[in-house]
Amino acid sequence: MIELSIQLLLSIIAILFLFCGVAMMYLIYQRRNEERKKYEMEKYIQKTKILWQEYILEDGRFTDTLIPKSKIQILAVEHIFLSYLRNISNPIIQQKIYSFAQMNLKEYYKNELKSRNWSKKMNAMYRIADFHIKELISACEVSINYKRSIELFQLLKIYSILEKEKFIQEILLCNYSFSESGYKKLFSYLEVEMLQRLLEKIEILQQAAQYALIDTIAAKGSMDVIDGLEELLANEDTEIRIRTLRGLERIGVIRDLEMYIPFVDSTIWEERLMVAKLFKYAPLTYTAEHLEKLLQDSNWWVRSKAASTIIEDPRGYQRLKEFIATTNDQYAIDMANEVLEKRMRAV
Amino acid sequence: MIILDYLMWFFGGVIIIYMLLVIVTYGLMFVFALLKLRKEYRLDQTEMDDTYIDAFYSKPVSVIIPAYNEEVGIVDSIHSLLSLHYPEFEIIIVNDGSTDCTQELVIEHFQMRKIEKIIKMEIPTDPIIQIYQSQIHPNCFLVEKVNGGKADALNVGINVANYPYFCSVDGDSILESTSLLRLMKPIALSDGEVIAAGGNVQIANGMNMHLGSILETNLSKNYLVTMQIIEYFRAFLIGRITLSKFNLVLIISGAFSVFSKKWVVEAGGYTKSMIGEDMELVVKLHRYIRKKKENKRIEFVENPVCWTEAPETMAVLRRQRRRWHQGLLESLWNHKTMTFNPKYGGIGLLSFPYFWLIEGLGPIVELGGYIYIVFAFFLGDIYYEIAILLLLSFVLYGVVFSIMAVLFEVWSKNKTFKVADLIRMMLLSFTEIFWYRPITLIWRCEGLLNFLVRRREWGKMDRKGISSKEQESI
Repeated sequence: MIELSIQLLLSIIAILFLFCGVAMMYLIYQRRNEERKKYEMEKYIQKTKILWQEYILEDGRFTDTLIPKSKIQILAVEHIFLSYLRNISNPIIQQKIYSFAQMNLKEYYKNELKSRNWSKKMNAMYRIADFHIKELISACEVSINYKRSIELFQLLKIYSILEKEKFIQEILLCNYSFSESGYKKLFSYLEVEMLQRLLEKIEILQQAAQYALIDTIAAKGSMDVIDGLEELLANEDTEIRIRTLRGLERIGVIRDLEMYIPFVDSTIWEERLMVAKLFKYAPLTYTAEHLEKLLQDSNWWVRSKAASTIIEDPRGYQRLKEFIATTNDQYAIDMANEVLEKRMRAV
Repeated sequence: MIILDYLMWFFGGVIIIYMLLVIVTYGLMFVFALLKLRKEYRLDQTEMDDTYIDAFYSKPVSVIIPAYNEEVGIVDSIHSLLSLHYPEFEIIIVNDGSTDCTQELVIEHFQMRKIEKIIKMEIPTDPIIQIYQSQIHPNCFLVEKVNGGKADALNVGINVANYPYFCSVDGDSILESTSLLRLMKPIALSDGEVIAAGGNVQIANGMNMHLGSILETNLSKNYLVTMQIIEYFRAFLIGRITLSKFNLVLIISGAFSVFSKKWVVEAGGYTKSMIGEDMELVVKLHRYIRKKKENKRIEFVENPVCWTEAPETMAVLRRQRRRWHQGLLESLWNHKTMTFNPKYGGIGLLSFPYFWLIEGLGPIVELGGYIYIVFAFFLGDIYYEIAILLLLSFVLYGVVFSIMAVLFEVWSKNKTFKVADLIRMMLLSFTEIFWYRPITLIWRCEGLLNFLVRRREWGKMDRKGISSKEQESI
């Protein structure tokens, strides 16, 4: 029995050592291969650098030399294009890159989408989005596994960049829930008008999408969305109300102060915090009474924000001094003193 | 003689069964990790980096560096943090009553000025003496406090932190520029389901660094360091990937981890009296999650790397391993009621038994195995064959897994490596069971002894450049 076990263990160890030996040889071969590829890529980039600059930046003529002939050259072109796209925001340059990719890289990505290697397929989808290769959307639809969230997300991202109407349809029907940051990314490619259309149907969206939509709309900073956001202040979902208040604070406009006064007495401290922030967009004459109430709030963050809002107003310094002299609330006094001291240091 | 026979058979059987259990467990973990990384092999990671570099998609983070006598590495470490590619973060250096020039160096290099700041004491700590803010990097703060230990310094950092997530980084660690971005990825993608994430700590000895940036990666010439590098590969890539997948992680490195401030505060923050305060916090969080019946996760993320310097001498390494093992056992003992407790799900039924049996008590059995082999060779006869069987299982466990971990690391990271370094690491792996493994087993047994007699020993590392990590269990 023991002898048999020894034999078995010896065989296992021998097989594993053999495997390790082969793996080592493979890694060394792969390393040499990578080095060669890297060298060839760099050589190609050096050789064509000036031609690319002329073509992309200086309105130079397109020459056949620029068309990549091998996979290494395609990777080099990808590298050049991504550098331009990530560092320069110029519609003419972007359009040139998109057109070139459409003409000369489309077939390559089409083949990559058929690959059984998951990473290759995903990388191809990333590049289709980066280079706006609209003609490959149907190929993406065929190649993805709809049960895998990362693949579905990438397809939706492609829609949001290249097929906005389809994106709206799909996102409203989509049963899969992504993270908030994922939804924010998807919504960030849409124009305000499209986002407004989604806002009208916000209840149909997944919860994370609802929150992300409010954040994205606010981040766009358009005055056109204020009506839509103000309507959400009456929403039953606490988080939606908090996000909306935060969004309105981000846009930086108070149209009707009365609409926000009830939040001063909200039982939810985040709402009180947001309203303390928002009040900086209204004259202190109208908000002082509420802000002083918030300065004596039971929550540390609310007190802190109320004090900051007061001090930001030109009459805030004096108002805080008066407040310190008249109140007995030691927490509020400490907070007021802190912001006063900060102001002194800044001056 | 009959008694001796019985004893030899009994111990031989126990040790062989134990070794088989360990080999099968590690083998399964290895295969799982291999399959996971194979899927993402060559996936363009920069795509995700680009997505989350915008503050709109990410969450702000307070980076906390507890520092006690870190004058050698602290400036480089802060420089590496300042060059992080992350949209919104603050750096809070907590000087835990250093007796060297740590504070003076930080004040001078980063032009720190005293500020008044009211701190919400969400976790009770020793008193803060003064808070400073950098004039050149307004997001960089220095907190001076009376000495109270690393856990207390971290708790102070949490109280001072302005952001909903905090990242603990040791005072002598160097982060890669994308490390924080990648560590925060599971948190950003999970909408709060992931409440803590630990990064991959790797050894920096031999590297060429300047102002917190890695200029050149070289393998250390020191065999002891190289052996630790192999050990780190094995521990991080084989063990933690699988444990993380099933939310079974009990240890994420204190040298580089991100936590949700809310959850840590609710769980009571770091425990002052424990040696392994990072493991203790993770266990407390798991316990608290279950108590609240919340669906939260703690993950290990293999991509973001934090560079650290490993001990270069036997004496320092011995102290470190002793402490790590004592810390591990203290935490396990402190929460012993979780072991085999179905109330804690996989943590109670799988993680705790795994850490007790394989990590905690493993050194006794393994060391027993070495002693058994020596005895058996003298006794001859059938014991000779048992000894060979044991030795082979050690080879499989020690040598084969180490070599595979090295190859795995090189392959999965698609790293630029020197062929000579790869061969050196593989050859050194062959020697592991003859010197490194037995001596670390003895040190871990010493840690176990210290735990049993409740001996307190506060390790002090010799700093050379970018220095050692304490509290890291391998």
